[in-house]
Amino acid sequence: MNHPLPEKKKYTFNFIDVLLIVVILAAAALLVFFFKERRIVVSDQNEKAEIVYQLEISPMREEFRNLVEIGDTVTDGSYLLPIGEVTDVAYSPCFYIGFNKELGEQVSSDFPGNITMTVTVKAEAEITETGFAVNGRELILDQTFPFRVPDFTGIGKCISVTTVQNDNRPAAERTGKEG
Amino acid sequence: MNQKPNRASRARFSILDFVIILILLACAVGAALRYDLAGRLFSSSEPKEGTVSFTAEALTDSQADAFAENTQFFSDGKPFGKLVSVSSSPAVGYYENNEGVYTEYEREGLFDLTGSFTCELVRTDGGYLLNGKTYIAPGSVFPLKAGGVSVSVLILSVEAAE
Repeated sequence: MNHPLPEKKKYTFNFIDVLLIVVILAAAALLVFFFKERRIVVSDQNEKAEIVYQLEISPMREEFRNLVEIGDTVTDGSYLLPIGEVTDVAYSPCFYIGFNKELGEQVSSDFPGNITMTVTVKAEAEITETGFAVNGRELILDQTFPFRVPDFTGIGKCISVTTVQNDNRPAAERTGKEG
Repeated sequence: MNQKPNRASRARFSILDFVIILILLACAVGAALRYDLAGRLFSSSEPKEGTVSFTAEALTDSQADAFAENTQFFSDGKPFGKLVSVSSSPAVGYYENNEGVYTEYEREGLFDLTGSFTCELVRTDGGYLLNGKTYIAPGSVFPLKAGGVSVSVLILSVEAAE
């Protein structure tokens, strides 16, 4: 005996569909967030290089001296991702560059209560079209970004980036500053 | 006549379920990364009382008055710490004089404060966490509220009790 074909179930929009749409939207929002925040970095090249870069913190209050230690992990203050390990710390006087209106020339004077700290950091960087990036943080000369180590946080200016092979000199020699 | 339940109508694990589970997992991982949930959930250390010293610059009279000892301060609506000591001095400012030299001057009617709070701290590999959640270290700036005023303080030192 032939059974009648089961009637095709009429499609209805149900709770599971709503849940599915919400989940997909949430996933899309997360993806957008992570790409926008550069927690996920898509690079055209996967080539990597070991680099040494230097961060200058100036002016820095004198009482913050000796808080950064060799071996400290440096964390990006914005993206909260590790961006290298401290290999050297140097301190030097901090100067204020002013303009002498009487002589018509630039002069430098002491910056009271402040010093300059230069932190040398070793990291594995991605080689990008524009230079180097460590965990999404682009290292651009003269650009500042917030960073953290366990016992200090501040805003550092990137003053040098070199690949390890080309940079065997001690940090003091590279900066030309006294420790 | 009773009909047997249609096998096709039974719940079966399909590729769609698998996709949903994957998306849910991705959401969970994303949230964990974003808010460092793993670090917080599995942080075994209990908060310990510690001392956080600070400075606040160029405060008005009414702002400085809010810094009374034993006052509880709040940051982002959460307890920051109790003020245990404070000292005040005339606010200092700087300007460039005609010779181009950076020169100190006293800012009349304003005050610089230094002092310390007792706070709840957790020591981690990445440094101290205030109340086990917020990174705090020398150089951090916290907007604090108490007594109807809001003041930004710069953290100078952080020490947990042994």
